[in-house]
Amino acid sequence: MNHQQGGRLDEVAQEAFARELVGTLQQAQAGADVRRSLARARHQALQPHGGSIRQEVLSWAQQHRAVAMVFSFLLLLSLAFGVWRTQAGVFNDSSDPQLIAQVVDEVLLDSFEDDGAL
Amino acid sequence: MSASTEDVQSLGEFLAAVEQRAWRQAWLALRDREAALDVVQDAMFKLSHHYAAKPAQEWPLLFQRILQNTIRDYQRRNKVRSFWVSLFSAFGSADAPDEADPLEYLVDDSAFGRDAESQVSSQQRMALIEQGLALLPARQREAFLLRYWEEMDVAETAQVMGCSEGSVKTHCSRACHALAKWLSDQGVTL
Repeated sequence: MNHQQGGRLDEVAQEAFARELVGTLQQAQAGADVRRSLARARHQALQPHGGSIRQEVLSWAQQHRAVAMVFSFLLLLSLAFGVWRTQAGVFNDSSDPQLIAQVVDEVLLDSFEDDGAL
Repeated sequence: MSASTEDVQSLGEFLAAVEQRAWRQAWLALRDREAALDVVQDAMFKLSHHYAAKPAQEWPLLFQRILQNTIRDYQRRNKVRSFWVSLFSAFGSADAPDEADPLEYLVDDSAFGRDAESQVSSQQRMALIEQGLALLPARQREAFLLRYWEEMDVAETAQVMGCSEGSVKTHCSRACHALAKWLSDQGVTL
């Protein structure tokens, strides 16, 4: 290179230097596998809805990271609770209609009466 | 805002025309093949889903802006990830930049006519230029690549980078000087 490489470059020399560098870089082109991946990515990007739900969910989660973390935590918590409840057989009586009616009568309705709501 | 079939078709043609340059640009910034692919795919997706109905002449600048933001987001996330990885792992070497893979891309067909020695030296020069670009501060590299790799003028580069034209000129000038010094130190003459 003849334009003061390593020293100060004036504006014209700078332009010429940059064009020469880029010219060298442009001698290479992406490999076949990269070109295939890019073509696949382009097709996916142009699909009206193909694969977009996953992408939408991911980008939403990325933009609202804190909310997404809270949701994930609650989901995990409820899953863990569900598993524990199934395995431990806790609250099996909750599906008993008589028991539910009794609870409603004794607790809920009584509290409404106390408040004067009924 | 929904895009017509013609819009989607011409957007496809636009993306096909710019995707390899965009990937190369992302690769030069990130030095990671898969990350560069992810970034370009993400940028394509955002352009297609949010701006496909915009006039076609606005796509190049929009795409560049999206691409640069996506590259920056990736670098930011990577920095945070590297911090935690190095904090928790005694073997964490995530701070080291990826080395260039000489098989990452192929020398253009037009170079096949040259003798083997000049091809090797051309590849070595290319690798050194890429290393030099990787060593630049992110904003300088961004300005250099937009201005010279993407052949944008100063005003367009400033618009994409969200800074003044003066800043673009300063970034480009500093990038050129740093690259010239780096290449000179490596004994490379262009």
